[in-house]
Amino acid sequence: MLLLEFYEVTKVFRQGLLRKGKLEAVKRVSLEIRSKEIFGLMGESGSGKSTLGKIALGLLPPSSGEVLWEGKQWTDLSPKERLAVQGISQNPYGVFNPRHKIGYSLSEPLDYHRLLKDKEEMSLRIKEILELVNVDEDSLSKYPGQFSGGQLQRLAIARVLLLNPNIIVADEPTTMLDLTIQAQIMHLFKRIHEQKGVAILFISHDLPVVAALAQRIGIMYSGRLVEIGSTEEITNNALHPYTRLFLAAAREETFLEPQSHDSGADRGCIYCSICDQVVEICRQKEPELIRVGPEHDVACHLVNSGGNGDRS
Amino acid sequence: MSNLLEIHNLSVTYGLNGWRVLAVRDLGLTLGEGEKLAIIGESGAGKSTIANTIMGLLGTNAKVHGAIYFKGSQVKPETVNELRGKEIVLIPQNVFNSINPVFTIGEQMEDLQSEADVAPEQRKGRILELLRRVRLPRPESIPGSFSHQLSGGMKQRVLLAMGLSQSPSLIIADEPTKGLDPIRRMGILNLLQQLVEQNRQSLMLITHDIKAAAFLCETITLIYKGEMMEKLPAAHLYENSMHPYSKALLAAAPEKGLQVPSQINGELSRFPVTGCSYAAYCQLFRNSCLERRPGLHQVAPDHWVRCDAVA
Repeated sequence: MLLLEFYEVTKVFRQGLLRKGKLEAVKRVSLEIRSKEIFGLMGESGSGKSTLGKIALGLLPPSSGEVLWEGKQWTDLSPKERLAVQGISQNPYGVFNPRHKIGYSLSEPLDYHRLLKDKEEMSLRIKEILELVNVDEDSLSKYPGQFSGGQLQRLAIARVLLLNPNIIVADEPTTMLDLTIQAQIMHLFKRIHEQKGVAILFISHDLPVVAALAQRIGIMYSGRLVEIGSTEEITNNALHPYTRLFLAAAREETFLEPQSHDSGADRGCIYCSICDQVVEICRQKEPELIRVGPEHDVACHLVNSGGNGDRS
Repeated sequence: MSNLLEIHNLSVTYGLNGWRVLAVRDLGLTLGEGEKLAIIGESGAGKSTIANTIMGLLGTNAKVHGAIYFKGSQVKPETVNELRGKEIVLIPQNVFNSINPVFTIGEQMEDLQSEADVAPEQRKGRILELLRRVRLPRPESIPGSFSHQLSGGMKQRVLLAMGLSQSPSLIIADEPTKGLDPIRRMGILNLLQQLVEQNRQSLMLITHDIKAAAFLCETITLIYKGEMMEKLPAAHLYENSMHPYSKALLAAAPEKGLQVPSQINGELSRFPVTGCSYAAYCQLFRNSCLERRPGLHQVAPDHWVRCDAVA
């Protein structure tokens, strides 16, 4: 069974005084997250990847399209079922109430949802999870201000794991951390993935981080999913011109810096004002995701016409 | 040879709840004209304190020992005003707090122009030219905008344009690549590189992005707990770095295998005042590391290491 399915999901934000302005943060994205996989969602700032993450968490309703959690709509999920999807944010300093001890903050969700029978079971469970995330037990009687960013991120992960999710949406969980701490947190993600079999939607613009963790990668540009494939396919055999540019920048091979913008026109490929391989059809029709390999889909006319991404 | 900037035996401490916290310890640095130097360190290593000390922007709870020389003359609290914003500019880390939200970008840039004695009728043209130099898209739309209408990356470029308005000889960039996606990151690195090379300006890059430092700078300085642990040419960083801390930092990168330095001597982590500050994590730890602070050893013409075990 698929854990999470997006069908033609679009999210439009209204802007301006009279709400006349329209910003399509996510446009017609179809995507599925399989059970027990780590899916890396990549793209530049403003590409809509965090908006998609919020939709996955049930925090934002899509403007159109359908999202299914284990085959059910959000409104059909019971409060307990909704706990199966949990999020981890970029800023670990903002996660915990600074006036509560960590022990209280960790047990509060368990208490609220009445997930465990008694206090003893709860403290056992908290101990077990703290061991998994490698934080000392005496942390429970400390306040958030007494921890470093890396420790707080571990505790945030611990609180999420206490609720036994089957999918975690992690939105840039390591960008605010030092390199050595980032390495620790990534090892932790690997460990919880292996031991708990939890699926992770890992949102980031850091290619080496995503490539080291994810089995599949999706690339977003201006709200569209432009390419999706196994990590190996994406890193070695990317076909979409934007993916290639993104990878080249991540590998420090290019300085090209196109300005992303939404022309507002409904016709044509969103990337065609920047793309260096534009042909006539690019301005006429928006490309759909086309399957090019067993684990590889691309939304580009050039690939569709057999041009393999090269100028035809 | 005359250096643009010389820092001698700089120590900075902050007063905090009756304690004095050592942020920078006995730092010596030189920066030549046109040189690009990177200061690499993790959070709390004292990187930003170094920048703020040079700029004279420390709070009243800070105490500074040592001396800073700029173009041969000592920088003192009374004279730093003459340099700040004119000879030395700082592109701050937190771009969100650095532009006044209630004035337009154009108004703020015009103030800087009047500081620089640009005739009023030339100011608008010069502002546009500066905005073009930092490669902002549609530069003519920027002067009329307010801070909140710009993205983080655009604010950063506006601040860079403001900094360039007086043709400084030293640009200090504090974490310019932080939080940028790969395409924007390469854009700002390329921009900084071209700007300083065109005008023979010196650059001090403060960052924890090792790859950016190696890409942009000639000299790399690694700072740990306020101390310079290693200084070497960027070209030798990946092959020849010697300090255990430098090696651990390089090995933690995702493409280098994500190795995590384990704490070997846990009880030492409480800030050893004597001895080496890296002792608690060091792979090469031996008891003599606790007895005295390791000296800075020169191992090659341009290569210094603060470690008695490797040098």
